[in-house]
Amino acid sequence: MLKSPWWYISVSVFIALVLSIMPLPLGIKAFRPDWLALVVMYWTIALPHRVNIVTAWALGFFLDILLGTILGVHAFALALIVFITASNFQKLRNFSVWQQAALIAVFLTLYHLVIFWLNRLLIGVNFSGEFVYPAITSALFWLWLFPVMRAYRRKFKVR
Amino acid sequence: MNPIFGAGPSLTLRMLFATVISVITIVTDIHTDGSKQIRSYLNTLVSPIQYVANLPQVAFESFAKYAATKQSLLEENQQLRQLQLLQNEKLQRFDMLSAENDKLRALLTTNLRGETQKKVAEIMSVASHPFSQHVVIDKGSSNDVFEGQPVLDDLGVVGQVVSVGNTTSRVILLTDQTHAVPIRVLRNDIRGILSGTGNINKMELHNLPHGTDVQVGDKLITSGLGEVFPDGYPVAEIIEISPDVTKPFMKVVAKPVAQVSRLKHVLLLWHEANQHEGKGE
Repeated sequence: MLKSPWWYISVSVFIALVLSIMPLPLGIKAFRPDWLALVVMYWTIALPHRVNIVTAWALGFFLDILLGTILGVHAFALALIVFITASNFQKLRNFSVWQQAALIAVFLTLYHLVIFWLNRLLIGVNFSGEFVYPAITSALFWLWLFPVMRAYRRKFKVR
Repeated sequence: MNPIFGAGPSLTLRMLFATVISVITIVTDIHTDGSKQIRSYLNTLVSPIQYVANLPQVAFESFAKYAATKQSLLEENQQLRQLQLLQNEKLQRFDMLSAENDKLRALLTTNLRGETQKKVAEIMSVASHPFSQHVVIDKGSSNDVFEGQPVLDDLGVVGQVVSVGNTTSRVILLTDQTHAVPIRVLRNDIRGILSGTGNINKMELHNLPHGTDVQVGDKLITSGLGEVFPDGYPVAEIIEISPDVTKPFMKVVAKPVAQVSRLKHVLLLWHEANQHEGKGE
């Protein structure tokens, strides 16, 4: 019954990737949570010996292909915030879910700014506040995602 | 519990490694052509995810088909018949005009306009990052789609294919910030380059000197100069001109005629010059 932990991690990541490109109505498109970043950060906090920077980089690269952005941009940004998460995972574990959500909003703001800066540098896009809205929605979704992922991890004893 | 980070390099070293790899991939992607080939393999690799993300849309549409009433189908059928009648009438005249045009061109000893081969592709409902305005279509190299292929809808030019996977390909829209298309004004053949702004309803015509004869409402069509888009397809309509003489050039804003925000089906074109290229690969 019990499969390798990687199998369970892959399932959650696959769902996150699908949600990241699933079409949304125009009105709420700008608020799409960063599903992949949330899921990867969860696994980094829970199982830092399995999911950390290299995994995050590879998954960010996947996201780059899916979104059609310059290859390596999302990869770098995701690796960077996972670096911060992984270096502080013990502190993050002891915070309440609200405190975690606040910190995740900060991390994801950084994530989106890094993506914006790189794009600004490379193809000269112009800034619009819309680019950081997902950081806020993601933080709100963390309040729901964290217990769900924890239940998932405990149910299947992913270690 | 496993010892955390007991094995393998430290976090900082990993981050350094990730940074170096990122720089390498970014530079490769921007400055070399080789990355196109890589992207095409990678697109094939991720297409299952795209198909899964597209599923709800497919399910919703098949449900809508199933739930459509007889009455609405009959009405739609009637509307389409009327439309077909009107368009057939136009087509009759078009055949005559096209023959006349060929004769005139033969008299002027210019090249005849070749027929183009077309194929309909469906847009998969898959989102892209706000920086890059791309759509994914359900045709790929197995359908002879090639890079740089022009893509149209029923009203005008939509964009061109940027990367081809096996069964899907990615189309960059006209309005993407990194895209530009050579155009001419239908009324007086003034040529220019129309580039995207990242806003789905706005494109800008650059480097037009003050006093150039353009007006609000002018239609812009492809000039065929870039050799990507064939000559004469509608692209955009000028909606705003601000003749600010303190700037070196006029600011001309145009709106694409294709309904870029609500695309469902698009046409892929194979024109003769490209065809050999496409098949040759």
